[in-house]
Amino acid sequence: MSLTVKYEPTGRFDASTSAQHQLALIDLLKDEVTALDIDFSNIEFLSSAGLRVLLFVAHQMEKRSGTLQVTGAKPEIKEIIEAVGFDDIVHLKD
Amino acid sequence: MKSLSDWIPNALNEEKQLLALSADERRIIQERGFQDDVALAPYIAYACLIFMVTFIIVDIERYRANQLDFSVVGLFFWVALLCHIVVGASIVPALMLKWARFNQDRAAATRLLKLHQSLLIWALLVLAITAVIIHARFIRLAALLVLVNLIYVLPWRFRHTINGVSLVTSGVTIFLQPMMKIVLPIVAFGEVLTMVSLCALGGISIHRSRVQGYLAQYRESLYLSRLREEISVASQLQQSMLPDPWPASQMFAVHGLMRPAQDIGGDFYDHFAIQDGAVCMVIADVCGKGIPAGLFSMSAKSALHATTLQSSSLRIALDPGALVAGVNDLLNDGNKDMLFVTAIYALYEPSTGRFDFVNAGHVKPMLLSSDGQARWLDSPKGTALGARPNRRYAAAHLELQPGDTVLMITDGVTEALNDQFEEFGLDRVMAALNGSMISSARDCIDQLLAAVDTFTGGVEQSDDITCMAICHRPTDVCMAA
Repeated sequence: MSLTVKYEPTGRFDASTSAQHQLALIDLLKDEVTALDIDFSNIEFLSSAGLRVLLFVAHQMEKRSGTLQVTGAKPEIKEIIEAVGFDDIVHLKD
Repeated sequence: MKSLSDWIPNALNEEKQLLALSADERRIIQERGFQDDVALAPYIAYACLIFMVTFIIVDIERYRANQLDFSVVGLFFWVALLCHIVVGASIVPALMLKWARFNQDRAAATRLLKLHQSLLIWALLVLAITAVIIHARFIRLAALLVLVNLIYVLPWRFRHTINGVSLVTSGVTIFLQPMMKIVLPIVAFGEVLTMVSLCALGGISIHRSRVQGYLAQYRESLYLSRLREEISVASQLQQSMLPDPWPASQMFAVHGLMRPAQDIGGDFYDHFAIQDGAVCMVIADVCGKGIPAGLFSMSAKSALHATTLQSSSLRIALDPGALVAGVNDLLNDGNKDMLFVTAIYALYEPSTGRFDFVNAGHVKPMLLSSDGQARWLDSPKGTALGARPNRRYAAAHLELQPGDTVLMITDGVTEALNDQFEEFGLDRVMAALNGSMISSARDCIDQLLAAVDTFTGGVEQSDDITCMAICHRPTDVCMAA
């Protein structure tokens, strides 16, 4: 059974907010979620601490054979994720 | 013969509890309590001023009704009048505490506070006893007594005696209550003491929470100052673990610098000699900042350093790509929190100028030619280290010409912000260095950082800033210091 969950954060995805985002995301993963979609259209900034949270969640999804998708990210944010080479596990979509 | 205070149960016996604390803690409690009492005294005085109005009215009424005579009851009215005057007198030292002249002189403030408290409390107690004896109404008194006891908690040496007696007589009063009609005076007296003892208990519990508050704050501040001390030591340790400056040489010069944003940084750089006069250089940036990043950075630094030295000592031809891939797997092992570190790992051969580097998700290095031209160096894409196992890494190769400088930075440089929240950016790095005749590794870094500092204009550093430069066969000798 395929279950997709969507998460729509706003503002910044950095060290000061990453803890609460991580908690919120882990909460969403409670049930048999196979696909997690994070809507990044309202995110203005992603820091390395924020990227770590995305990686953490992506790894959790990978462990249960699911996927993590990030949609609507700004070009600068997409560049960051591609430059550090995590776009294979944090799938980027427009 | 046991003293009265021994009869008080431990939970209520403040003296016994205070003895269980350290001398410093007792001192803090006394000091904070004193400061709070000095601050409150003027407000107690204002409340007393209002009560003085009723006292004065009562006394005038009694005078006009000719009750202030020398009969037994009249004498008690005189005592009450005297007590009213004493309450009024207690207002004066309390108000004097508001003057800087007095509240800054510790000894004077202590004397004034004690005088105010003693006058007020004795006057109220005598008034209470008087009121009981002449069956006067003592509601006003009760209110004042409650107020004073709750806030000051009778903070003088008779407190335990009064509290003890109150607790005993209140028990007696409750027992005698049904026989009120018969033993009215005793019960009335008992009622006063019940009231006082209730105040005492209320006061004790408020005072205890005050004291606990002081203690908690003091212990917290001790803990914080110890923490601050440890972080300061850790910060110095981290800086001292950065590589020592390279000795002066005609062949090459390496210079590196790390400026943490917080006390502990998540960036590091490393340079050390390996087989056959070659040099290994690393610059890296751990995700995040502060202590967690710092801990992972130390582990990443050790992993890269040790793996390289080990391969070097085994006389294996060093393959940067394979080496970095090995360290990636090493860092990935047990990395549950998905920490990662971006890095440039470079091997430099001074005799030939060969410069091979692997870029693991890091900011591109910059080549500054001896003619002043600057360009970013491309390389095969590599994933940041630690988060994903089984990755391949390939090195880029170049031959440095005499006078060439390679500059490696972390994104603390490009992401440095000014007060308009603009980033320094890659273009400004290029602009700061392109066309400059850089004569040494150190000058290269100094020039870049000067440009960054000018741009940020004193805005607090938001990310760790790290730079490392290698200058191949510089035109003049570079001193390491």
